[in-house]
Amino acid sequence: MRTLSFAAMVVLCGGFFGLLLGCPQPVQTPGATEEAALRETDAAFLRAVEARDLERALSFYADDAAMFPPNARVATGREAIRAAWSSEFANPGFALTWHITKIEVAQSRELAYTQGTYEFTLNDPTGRPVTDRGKYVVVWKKQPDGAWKLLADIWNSDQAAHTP
Amino acid sequence: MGRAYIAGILLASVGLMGLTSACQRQAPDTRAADEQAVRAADADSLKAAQAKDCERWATFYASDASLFPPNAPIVTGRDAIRNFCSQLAANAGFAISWQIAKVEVSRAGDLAYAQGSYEMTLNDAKGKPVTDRGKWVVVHKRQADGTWKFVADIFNSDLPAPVAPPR
Repeated sequence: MRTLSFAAMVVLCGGFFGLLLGCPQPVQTPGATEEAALRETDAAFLRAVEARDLERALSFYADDAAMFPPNARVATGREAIRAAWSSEFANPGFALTWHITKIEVAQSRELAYTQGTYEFTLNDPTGRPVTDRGKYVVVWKKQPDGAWKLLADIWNSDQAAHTP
Repeated sequence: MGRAYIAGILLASVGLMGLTSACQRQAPDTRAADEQAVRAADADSLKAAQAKDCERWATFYASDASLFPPNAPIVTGRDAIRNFCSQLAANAGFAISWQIAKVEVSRAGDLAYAQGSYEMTLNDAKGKPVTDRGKWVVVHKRQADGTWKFVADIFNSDLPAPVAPPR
């Protein structure tokens, strides 16, 4: 009886220390892996945009996403976002690239945001390429299948506005 | 003697169960209360902006926050944001209003975002009031003291270019 109880105590104490050591570990680096996954998703999204692959680019947006283009109304939902991207892709001078400058993931790992800079070229009506440079914020939401998708996508130019 | 051991084992078991449940227990869902706090911070910052109180307005931003004004470079840090506010408030025609359309808070209660619309009037160079209408996204982050602060504040116009924001 005495030996059995002692053995049980040892096991329990071992369990105790194991828990004390083992429990906090998963929350020590909350965003590290999610941040890497998010950067990977952002890079894949950029590749789809660079390839003017409309369907693939749209697949990175959540169903209820909103896109906020400057000098236009908010585009809410995938169909409105499709219309916005397809008109850009139709421009023969279209070229777009961006870089993340800041990334932050919630400790619960389902909400995040990125901010960064972009460079965006389109041909003007005379066929001359015009490049805009600016900054953006994207809010990301992790979907039930584990994929990160854009929920809010907004940007604006760094360049002085043209006065009429 | 045997009783003491049994009591010890029972106590240890209770302690172990307590620890296990503490490890597995999810933090309480505070999203509804967090959303209210985010909305309250937004409403208070609007009051400060409408009162042209840039000292107070800047307190709603985190010390490392960024403001993203259209047709201008990024404005980073609370002091730079305060200066940006002062420039706007110095315009004789300055008037601002905005509405929240949506708020979403992370399950952990540490990150949130809001989106909405705004209306801002400034006098142009000739002293004529010009009103801009647009949309915005603000990312909120809970600070160490429990308050919610803006970490990213970006907006742009709904009006067709080139309706330049008057300087």
